[in-house]
Amino acid sequence: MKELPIVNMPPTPSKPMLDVAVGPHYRIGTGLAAIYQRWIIALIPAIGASLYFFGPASLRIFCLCISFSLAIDFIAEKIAPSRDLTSNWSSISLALLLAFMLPINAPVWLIFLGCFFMVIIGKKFFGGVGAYPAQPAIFAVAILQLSWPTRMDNTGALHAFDWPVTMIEPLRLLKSMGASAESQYHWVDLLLGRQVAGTADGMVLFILLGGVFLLLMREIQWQLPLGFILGLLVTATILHTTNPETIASPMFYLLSGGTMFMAFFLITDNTISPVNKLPQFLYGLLAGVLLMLIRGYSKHADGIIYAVLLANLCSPLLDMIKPKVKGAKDV
Amino acid sequence: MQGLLNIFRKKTLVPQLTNFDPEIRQIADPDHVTIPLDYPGKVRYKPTVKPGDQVYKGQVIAKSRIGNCVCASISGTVKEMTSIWTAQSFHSPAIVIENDGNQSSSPEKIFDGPVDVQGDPEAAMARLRTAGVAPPWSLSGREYEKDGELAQLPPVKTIVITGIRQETTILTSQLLLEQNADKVADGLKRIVYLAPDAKICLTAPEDSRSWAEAKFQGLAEVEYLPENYLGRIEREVISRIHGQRIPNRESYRFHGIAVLDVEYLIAMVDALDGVAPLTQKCLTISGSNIDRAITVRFPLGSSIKHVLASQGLDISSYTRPVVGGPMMGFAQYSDTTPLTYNNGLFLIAEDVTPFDSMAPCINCGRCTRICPVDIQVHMVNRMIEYGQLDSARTLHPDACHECGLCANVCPAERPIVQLLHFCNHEMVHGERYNWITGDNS
Repeated sequence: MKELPIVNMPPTPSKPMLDVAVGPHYRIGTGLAAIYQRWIIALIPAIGASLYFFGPASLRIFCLCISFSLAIDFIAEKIAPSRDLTSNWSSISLALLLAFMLPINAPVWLIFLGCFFMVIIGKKFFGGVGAYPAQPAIFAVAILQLSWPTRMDNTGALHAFDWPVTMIEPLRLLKSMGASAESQYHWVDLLLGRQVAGTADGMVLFILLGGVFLLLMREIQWQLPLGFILGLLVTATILHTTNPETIASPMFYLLSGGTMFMAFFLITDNTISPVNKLPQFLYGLLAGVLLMLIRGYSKHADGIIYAVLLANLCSPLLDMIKPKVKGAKDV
Repeated sequence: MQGLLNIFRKKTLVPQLTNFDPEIRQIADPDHVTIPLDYPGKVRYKPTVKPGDQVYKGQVIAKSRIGNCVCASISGTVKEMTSIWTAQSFHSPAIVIENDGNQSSSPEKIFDGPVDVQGDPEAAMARLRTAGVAPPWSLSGREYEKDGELAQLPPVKTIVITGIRQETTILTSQLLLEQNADKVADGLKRIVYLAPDAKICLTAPEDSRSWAEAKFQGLAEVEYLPENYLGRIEREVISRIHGQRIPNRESYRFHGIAVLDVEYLIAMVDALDGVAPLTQKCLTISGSNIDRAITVRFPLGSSIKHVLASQGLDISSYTRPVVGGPMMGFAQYSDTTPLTYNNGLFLIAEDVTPFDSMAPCINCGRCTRICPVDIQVHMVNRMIEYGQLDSARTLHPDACHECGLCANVCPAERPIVQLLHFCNHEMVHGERYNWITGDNS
């Protein structure tokens, strides 16, 4: 058939400014900023509890962390423009996560270095948000703990506070005293955050509240915290029954230190956790088992740093467990 | 309290039409119609009239090589042969007919009475071709597979009649099914003779289960589809009915499946009865500022402007008219685009945030978890973004239906569908309704 010639151009529309766009024309995506804002909202209960307990000291940590992170992120963006914009709020969310884990008396230079390692090396060097292989806040804390172990000492930081509880980190006392240390702490104190920990990572109940908020907003998947808590409890039960002298009861591990913080905020970070449901569960399980093994058999008292870093490295491997694509042609 | 609960409620993926007008409104003839002659799926018609000719409503104005026809939808004068961009962004030759005000349609001028399908299937098929409703198993699509050669197609094993469209904003099929249930049952009885040995299936909305069960008993296997978009995606439904997956690049027809809308089944009954040829089409108008979705019946080739004007709507209050549904529809650059075999018009008044091609993927995995065919979208879209097309292809992006759900849920507002489309550039488009044309809705 002979092609008909194109004789005239399409007629001019009666309204000149129609929106030429590609589908889908209806979206529920909200932008990256909203995602990280929700994470920040989820952190608010624990921040509030920390401010209530520690007052201006914790306010100082939060403010310094946010200011340094934002400034470093902004300067980094000016020097080396990338698609990870400061305006996506991710650096504030990460700064708060970092602040949670710093000791309450952290000096300014330590906070600055922490933010620098977190934003520049942990995040920007790998290509910004979405590309980092390990949780940047954890990465920064790992560097700080290895480089300045005395400065990262939570027990020393809180010696000025006079609470009616044992003023030693529960897990540290457990390391030195064995399972009998468990009797030194009451579970209500641990739950309410009256325990020696970082600026806010020990506020178990308030972190749980934030975690539930994230779960309800569908920002994180339930498979991750559930797998983690199961892994931790099962491993702890096994270790506790085989070795009741040095290993405390599972609930003690669940409530002390940054366990809940790790369950809801550290391993659930979008970028470094697997995507499919079964790998997510396995990843949580792995993180829980690793954490318990580190707590039980290493010289580190609270092993969340290394457990998260090791689990992060396994994340891409776990994501290779994936469903078969429906309707794919055999290649 | 309720507002607080709403924050945590699962967000609706696609707009749901809760309020709609069940009446199908008849639209008056426009002052001119533009009827395209090229349709997706390599369907091409050759004009049988020339500029200046007087045509009557229902007259054959173009014919394909094997005798399928396009009918004039209004009576008037052929003004010109031109070329247009169709609503699906196809460049196509077209016939423009100017209305002469003659409203009457006289079936006796076109048809000589009803045709008995059972006694004479050949004559019935010829009638359907003349009336512009040749069924998909009669080589209506892809007849020009290669120049000079007709495509060799397997016999039809399954006929799927869609009583519900996949887009949630399109109500044409379900309203027609509900209002013309007897006619549909009649049509189901007749197509048995046109395509013997074929399994006949009908899809219907879940809430029609109460009456449809008894109505179509013994005539068709009825498949009830849910309210949500995810359960209605057409290729998924067809694969489920057929019991075997059809690769996206291949037409249903190559696998012995014929898919046709309930609307064409009704048109087929009309043609066989000698009542009317196919000159009209239904369309659902929904979107911003429209409280009750409107379903209209318009002459083929009317412009968007005419359809909107007939309902008292004005294009100047909208920013984006989308032909089809919100998920797979096509945004129109102009309101003079002729509407032909389109089922929906989704109007957007507010600014929809544009896709952010700069936004980094944060690996949240919403896309992968929503994907109806389980593509690892979070990996594939980044691989394509960074040009690693070969590694992307090992993850089978070719299974993508382009249903749009991944881009719909993406918090970074990345153009994921376009990235996958870029990778699958050979993917066949507009093949979904391989009837006379394709409509992606």
